[in-house]
Amino acid sequence: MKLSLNWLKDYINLNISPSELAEKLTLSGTAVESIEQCGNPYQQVIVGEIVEIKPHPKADRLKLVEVNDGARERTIVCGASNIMAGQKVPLALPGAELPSGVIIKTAEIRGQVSEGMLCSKKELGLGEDHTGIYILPNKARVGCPLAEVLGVGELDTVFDLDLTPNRGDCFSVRGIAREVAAITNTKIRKKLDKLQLKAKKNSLKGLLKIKVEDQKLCPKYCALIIRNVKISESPDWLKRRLEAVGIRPINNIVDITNYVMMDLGQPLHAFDLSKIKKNKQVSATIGVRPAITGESIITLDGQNRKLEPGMVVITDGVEPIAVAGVMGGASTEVGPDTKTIVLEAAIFEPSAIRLSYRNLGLRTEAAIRFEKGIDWSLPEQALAMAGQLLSELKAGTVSSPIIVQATPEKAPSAIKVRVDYLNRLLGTDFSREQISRSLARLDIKSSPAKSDKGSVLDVVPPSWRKDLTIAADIAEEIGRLHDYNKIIPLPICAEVCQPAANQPYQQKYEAKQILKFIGYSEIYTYSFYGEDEASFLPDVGHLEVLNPISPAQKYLRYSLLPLILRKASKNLRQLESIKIFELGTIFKDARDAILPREETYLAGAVADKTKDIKTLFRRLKGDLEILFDEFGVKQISYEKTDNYVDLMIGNNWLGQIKILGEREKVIFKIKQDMLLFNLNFGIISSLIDEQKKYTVLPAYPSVTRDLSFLVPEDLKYKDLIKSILTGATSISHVDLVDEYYLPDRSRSLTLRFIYQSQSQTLQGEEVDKIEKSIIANLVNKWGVKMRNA
Amino acid sequence: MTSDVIKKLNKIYAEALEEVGKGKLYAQRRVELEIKYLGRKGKLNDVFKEMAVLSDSARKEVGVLANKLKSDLKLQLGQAQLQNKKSATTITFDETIPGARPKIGSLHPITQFLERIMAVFSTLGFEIVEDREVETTVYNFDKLNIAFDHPARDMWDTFYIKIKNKKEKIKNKEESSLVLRTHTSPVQIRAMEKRRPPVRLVVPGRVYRHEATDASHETNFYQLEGLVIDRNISVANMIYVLHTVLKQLFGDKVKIRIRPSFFPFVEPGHEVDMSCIICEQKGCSVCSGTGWLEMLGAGMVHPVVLKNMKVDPDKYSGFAFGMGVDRLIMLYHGINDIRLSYSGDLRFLKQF
Ligand SMILES: [Zn+2]
Repeated sequence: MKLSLNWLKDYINLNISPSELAEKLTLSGTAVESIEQCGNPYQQVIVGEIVEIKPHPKADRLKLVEVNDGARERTIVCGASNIMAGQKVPLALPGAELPSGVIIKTAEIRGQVSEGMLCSKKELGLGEDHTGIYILPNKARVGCPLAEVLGVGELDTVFDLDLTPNRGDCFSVRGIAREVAAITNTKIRKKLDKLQLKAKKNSLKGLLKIKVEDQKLCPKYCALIIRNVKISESPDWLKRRLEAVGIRPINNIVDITNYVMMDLGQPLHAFDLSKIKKNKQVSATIGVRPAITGESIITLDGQNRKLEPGMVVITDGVEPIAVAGVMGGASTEVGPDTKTIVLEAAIFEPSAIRLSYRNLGLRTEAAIRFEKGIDWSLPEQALAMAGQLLSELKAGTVSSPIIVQATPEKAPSAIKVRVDYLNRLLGTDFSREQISRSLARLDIKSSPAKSDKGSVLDVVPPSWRKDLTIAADIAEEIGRLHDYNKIIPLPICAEVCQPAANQPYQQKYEAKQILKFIGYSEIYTYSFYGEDEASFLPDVGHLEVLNPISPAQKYLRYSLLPLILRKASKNLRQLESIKIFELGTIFKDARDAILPREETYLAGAVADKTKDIKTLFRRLKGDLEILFDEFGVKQISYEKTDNYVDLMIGNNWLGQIKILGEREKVIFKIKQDMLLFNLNFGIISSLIDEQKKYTVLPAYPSVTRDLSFLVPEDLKYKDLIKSILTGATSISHVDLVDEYYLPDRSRSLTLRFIYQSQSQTLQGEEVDKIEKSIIANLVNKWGVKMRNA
Repeated sequence: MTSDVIKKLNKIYAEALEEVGKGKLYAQRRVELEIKYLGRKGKLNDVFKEMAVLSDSARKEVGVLANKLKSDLKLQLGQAQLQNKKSATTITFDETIPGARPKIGSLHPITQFLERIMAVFSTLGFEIVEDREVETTVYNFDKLNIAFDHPARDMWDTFYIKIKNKKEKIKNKEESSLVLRTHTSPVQIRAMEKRRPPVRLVVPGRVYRHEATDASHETNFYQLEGLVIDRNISVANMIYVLHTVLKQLFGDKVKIRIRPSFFPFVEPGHEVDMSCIICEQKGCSVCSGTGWLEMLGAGMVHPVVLKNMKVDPDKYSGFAFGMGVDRLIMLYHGINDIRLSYSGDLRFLKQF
């Protein structure tokens, strides 16, 4: 909300600067987002005093003028001849925009820096005289804005406030004035006390019937009838105030309703009474009721709006003439010919107003205030103020008392506040009296509760503070008036207790670290994607976002892979090879529960333009082996089906390695071969065993020998090794040294055998014997051929 | 007297030369010897201190000698090292060539920063808790004192999730809406279903807001939530803990400022600002000239929320806080566009 400082001064005397006030407001909970000057046609033009005039060293016709700007002296290069020391002159500072549109900058003129400009009358748009500098009266105060000296415009400071939704009472000048009074420990002027509406002899009260159908939706409806309305432009002061706070002036009636709303926080609406009347009847009816399905209304902005049950409408007894609390209807709009108006000031149920503006997409200034709840006594005060303004501005004659239709007022209930509770919550040591004194500044009444001996306060907030309902609310009031920054920080005094370690969190970080050091870069992608990405996993039944920002974000991710592919594709436009991964949450519909299943997956992509799939696969598998080894996850079997390799431990499915298919290459615009991996990190996590067991070091030396075989195409390495190790003694382990394919698609494998005995040093003949039996076995069982090394 | 001092000086010089001559003079050894003889607390300076008692003329004489010995020694040291370099010619190679590095990857800056934050909280006795990202409105809002018609419910722009086979699943009308969590706060409630005070929790995680993206807004981002509940926990404790954490993350010099604010799940509620680390409060574009950066939302856990956690607000109190991690890394690394985080662009990611 915008706040005009001049307007605020109607309520309160301020003896601090705008920036000090902004700081105080911010630190007490009314955040000031920005401070702006307005109403000044001569921004950055001030009164300067000439201190000294020196010749310009390089130009005879120019002078160097030392000018005091109120804070310091600055040098101005000037060509005028009518100036002398001691004179007061208009000084345009860098940044000033003159009426001609010229923007003043710090400039170098013939080698001398000029920090601004002295102005002639013509340059200020004050006449045709451009021969000399405009000499100001000697009484003009140095540093003072020129506009103030000339008495033009009305200087004002406008604060942009970021108000919190709990403080509906602050959405008005009076509300902020109360805050300022409390934080500066002063009192506000009660300008409403003087307000009184003169009772008219020939009241038109009988002309209007108010019919509130549901008093829960509208606990209070007040109206005032104004006759002899003369629509015209508002006076300058009124227009200026509205413009300062960002409201466009329209005509005197509309402006007055807006003025009262900004001043007090009560939205008003004016109906043309003659347009409410049905069938030339003498009296008119204003009704308040819930909207009915199928109803619609043309609002003041010319839009035809469909109404729904749950919204509240104002009617002429039958048809809607306004969306209550949100916007008036076009059919009863005040126009140039309007003679009699009804001013409405009401209180509506906040949730109904919220429903209306949400569904209509119309968050008007009125709606913003109604949805936060209106102070009970405000409608009458607002109508009184509006009536008085209408009279003062001769815009019409108040022709009725305030007509009120209301439920009984609820008595405020006291909040019990224990002094020790309050101090314990804040970490302070306030006495009961200190608390009471602070509360009084906020118009909050407090008295020691009768039952307790001074340790409990009965606290009664004023009617406009609907946000204060519990003792913690009162603690906040004390804290913010005191200034939280004055509270002495205290370490927590408690038993030392060791927090439980979060194993999965640490394991995730560990996995990421391992992957980083074997060459993988971590990426983050969105948790949702579109149709193309979903087609990567057809038939899985993606969960859908009801209100996606775009169709490309309508599914919750069922897998990390589709977006990893997108990122891989993007990066491969610049890079030869990539290794990327993401560790994140995926979402699956749970058949029997509302909440979806969320699983943590570790997925990634590897590609290298210089490597074929077989090589890529061996490298990726090696990388994953390192990860599993580090985690102590053992006995993983790899099982290939078509383009997939499943990773299993017994019946546990750990994940998959997948060769990117041709169709996907097209969708994701990838030209080269790529392998993807997708691991269920939750399962891996459950298998992690980082406690490594020690094996006794061998007491005797080992023997290392290589053997090369030609193996048939369909023989898997795993089966080959199994055969070698079955029944073999003294083989400590077998490593693959080399693998390649021959033109006939058979495979050459070179294996390195480490022979080791637990009981003796192996001799060459013994190793020969073992080797022979291995070979014989393989030849017999698999038809393996030996290659001579 | 004078001769004593001169003797001492000559003795030290001789000692020094002997040491220089001994063994190979590697760079490290040279520095050691420099400190030992020529340093501020070196042997020569020790002798200088004794000169105070000498007469003016004697002092001058000794001074000249001392300075000559000093510069001589420096020269000797330099030459000795040079000699040493030349003698190491058995294997020639260019030691200025760049190292051959194994190819390594990188961790996302958010991962790295979260880890830093977690380390700080761990030392303060906080337990790390994570939980689900799709939530019911009950956990995301209602149990946090944000009722359906609460004006504050509009403070969060929310993504809703379609419930499949809704009719079969809904047993209890309250749980009829699913959302992508708008904050990590529901984890407070879930965590307290399995814990009793005293607790100190910290909750990192991804959250979602339905808003247009730009350089400072993302639909997906990371938040960090904290919760402390114990007997006698106060605003003063909250200020202490948060200031400690920010000092650990951004340096001892940072100051904090507490402003009253409003969040339905805390009362009193606060906004915590940190002194601008970019301009050191002189005013810059990052802090919009205010010298302060908004860092955290915080406050004392609302009694209604405590009751929803089945904690007795008369016995226990607590504070909670939340911060946007993306914004922190932007500040920390000087990143100007939040969207880079989710771009997957390796040119960006490899910088961290
Ligand atoms: Zn700054």
